[in-house]
Parts: sequence; structure tokens; C-alpha cells
Amino acid sequence: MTRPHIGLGTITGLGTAGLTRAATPPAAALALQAVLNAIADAGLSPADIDGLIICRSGAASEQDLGLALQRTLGLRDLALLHVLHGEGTSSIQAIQMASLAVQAGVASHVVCVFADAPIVPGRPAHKSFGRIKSSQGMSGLRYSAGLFGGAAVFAMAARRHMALFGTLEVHFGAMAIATREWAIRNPQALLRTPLSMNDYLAARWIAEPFRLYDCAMPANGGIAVVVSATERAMDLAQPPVHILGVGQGHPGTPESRGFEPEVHSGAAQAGKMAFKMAGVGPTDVDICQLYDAFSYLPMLALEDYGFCAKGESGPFVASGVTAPGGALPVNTGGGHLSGCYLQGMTPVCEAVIQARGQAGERQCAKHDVILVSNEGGRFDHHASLILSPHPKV
Amino acid sequence: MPVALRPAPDPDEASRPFFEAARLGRLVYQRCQRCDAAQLGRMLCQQCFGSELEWFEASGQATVHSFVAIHLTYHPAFESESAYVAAIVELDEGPRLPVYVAVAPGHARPVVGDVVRVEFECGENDIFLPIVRR
Repeated sequence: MTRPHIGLGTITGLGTAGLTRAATPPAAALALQAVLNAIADAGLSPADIDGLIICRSGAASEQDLGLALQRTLGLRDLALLHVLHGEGTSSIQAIQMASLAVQAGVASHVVCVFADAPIVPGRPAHKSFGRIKSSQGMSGLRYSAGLFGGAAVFAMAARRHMALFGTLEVHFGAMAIATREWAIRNPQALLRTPLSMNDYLAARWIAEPFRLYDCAMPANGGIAVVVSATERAMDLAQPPVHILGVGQGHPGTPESRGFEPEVHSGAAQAGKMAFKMAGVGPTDVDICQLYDAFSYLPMLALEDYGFCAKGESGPFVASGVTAPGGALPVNTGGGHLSGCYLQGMTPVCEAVIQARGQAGERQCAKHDVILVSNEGGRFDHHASLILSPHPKV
Repeated sequence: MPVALRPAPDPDEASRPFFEAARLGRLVYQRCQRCDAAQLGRMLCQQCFGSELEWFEASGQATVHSFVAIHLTYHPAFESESAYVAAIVELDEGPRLPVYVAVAPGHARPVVGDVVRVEFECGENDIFLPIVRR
């Protein structure tokens, strides 16, 4: 390596809008507010921003939230502008692209934003996520089988994990309960009443083996971060949060005998890259913020990142290790399950808050290395991000 | 009994022979002429990237890879009093396929590892869709 280490970029601003179950203005208006809040949080002005990367839900359209956001914001002479489509992994992918841009000198301050408004009065939220996206060829047969939305698809994956490894429904329940324990400590979380195993088991079925509390809490809102060139990040308004490593993994596993796409995510590949870049390993991680649209997802990620052996995430989580007071805090803001579901940005947001030491009652004493994961498609896409208050570990 | 037909994909180049055979009640799959890997609805072999994929008739016998009982309704074809069942089945020849599982009253849902038979029924747009009956 001849190039001096100048840093992979630094998150200098964080802004949110909405984060509510109530009806709100459309996604583009939430994105606008989140971006303005992130820029102000960094102590920057919109005129300082020279890059914008826009992420939206796979169920939303360019009309809902797209390139027009630049004009809505009145941002001029951007050096970088994208709508980035990566399903649930869009947010970390956007941060990676921003990181590459600031390292290359293409831009100095890049805003990455995700916003969505699936809660519409008079329509159950699952219908917002359960629409047919594209029904071409063999892949369209999922809809013919009745597999709409994420719940059915990931419930089937969870069932495979149960069949192969003896994972139990109460293991999924343990993940949901541990996450709720964190949410109770986060005033912004949407579900903050204590959840017992009896409550968990008594809740209605969504898609067996998933009950209500195995599924994300849909919400309307927007979350934006400002990614700045590290040398431009030091004298801004907030404690800097440095990007130490980032990686993607897109397994493309064949759907045929001998392959088990339901129990092997892209976290193994993405995590390997991110850990290598950061010069750390799973044992160095203080906190995990793992994409948890369904309870099974962070459990699988714990296995694929190497925090526990393949197949053992059920007993691992049931031991309480991820809950408040445990050795490996996971989803300390309440995640998607009890916090709010804003896809890849939910875990990023909580990681930034923890890295800054601004998490109040739920602040983890050790927050030097924070692992963030995004999951997308049907284990088709994964992205990993390692954040730290320190420029190097 | 739901009255609506199940939603059907638009056949594309890689899947048209599957849907044409389905209309005749025949289940077909592809084999790579170079490496013999079995697959379904592919343009290129997922094992060796070869482009010569030939269609062959499958036995129709399959094993349940996983299944789910869905308690939400997204589409009128799946309206049910309690829940409906979908599965991914692995054909004896190797490729996997998502299927709707029609469970007759009083019959048990399938479980992982059960041996089932893939049949076809008419869906939307006169496209024939795989179904497993219990």
C-alpha cells in the first residue's frame, strides 16, 4: 500500500423525520426533512453538500421518491447524484458509495437518505409491502404460490432453519423479547411495553412460524446521514463517526439440491470484506445493529458473521447475550421489530447514535466497534458496515 | 373455496417451454448439455454458464424443502378461513419450485421432507400453475 491512510469517510450528520405509525406527508417530503435535519445536525449548510444518494423502498416508485429530490432541496452543482436500488441493502450500499466518493476526492459531503410512507389510512401496512413487483418467468411463480411480501418468504426460511438445526419458536421469541427490552429504553421506539414469552406466544400468527412480534413494525419516516471526507469532518458540530470497513455480499445461490440459500446469507462474504478493511474480527465488535425485518434475520446474521456456530443462533440468543446487560448488545434501539422499520437506515441510525455516545439510558459503555448489517431480497443481498468513534482501531 | 384464479407470471424466453408443458399437465425441467446440471427457467447454466439447456420431462415427484402457513391475505385467490399453505419443493431431479399447497379439510399440512406430487391447475390469463394437493 503506497497510498497514505486518509480514512474511508466519516459520518458527520444524522437526521430523521416522521418515525411514526400515523399518516404523514409522502416519502419525498419525509426525505426532504430528514436531509435538512442531517445537514443541520452536522453543522453544515445545504450549500456545502455536493453529493446526494437517494434510497427508497422496493415497493415505492421514482414518483414516490427519486431524482427530483435534488430540486426539491434546491441543491445545486452536485458532483454525485444517484437513486440506488439494492432492496434492504440500499442504505449501506449508499454509504459505501459515498465513502468511495469522498476517498477519491469526487465529493466532500454526501447525503444518503432513505424514506418511505407505507402507512396509508384505510390500508393494512402489509399490503404496502405485499404488492407484486414483477411477475416475469419462473421467478413470478412465488406470487402464484401465494408468497407475497417478506413475512411468508422469511418464515419459510426460518422453517428450514428449524428443520435443519432444531431451532424452536421460543428462540425466535427470545430474539423478539431481547429487542423489546432495548426498545423500552429508547423513547423513539414505537413498541415499548414489556413483552413476555407468554405475550409473544399468544400473539396472532402472521406466517407460521412467525407471529406478530416476529415481524417489523412498519412506520412512515425518513433517515439521512451525511458522509464527509474524513479531513473535512473534524471540526463539525457532532462527534465524528468513522467508517472503518464496508462490504457487500450477493450470493446468487442456485435454487436446487445441494444449496441452502435459506440458512446462508451474504453476511459471510460482506462481513469478511468489512472486517478485513477495518482490521478487526467478530471478537472485537462491541455492538451489533442487524437488519431485523423478521426475528430470524439477525439470528442468521449472528451465525454468518461468526458470533456463534452455524445453526446455533437459537440457543445463543436465548442465553440473553444480545439483551441489555448481555455481552453482545444487538439492536440497541429496538431494531425493526420494536423500533421502526425504515429498512437499511434503522440499524445505521442507531449505530451512529451509539458511536457518538448519545443513546441515553440505552447507551452501551463499550462502543468502539459497531457492526451494522443490511439484508435484502430473499437473502439475495447483504451489506456490512463497521463504524467507530475512532479513526482507527 | 376461493373464486379468484391465482396470479400467473408472464412467461419469458427462459420459461415458455415450462408453461407450455404445464398446460398439458407435464412438468419439465432443463439439463445443461455440457455439465448435466439440472435447473429451471434459466438462460445460462447456473453451474458452468453454458447456454445449451435442453428440456426434459420430470417425474413429478418432489420433496418439501420448506413450507409456510400464511395468515394474511394479499390476493383474493388465497382467501381462506384460517391460513393457506405454500411450499418450496425440490423435484427429484434437483431444481426447486415454489408451489401452492391445497390442503383438503381434515388433512394434515405437509412438513419438511414429505414426498409430494406436483400437478397443475389453471391460473390467471389461462396460464397453468404448479399445485400440490394434500
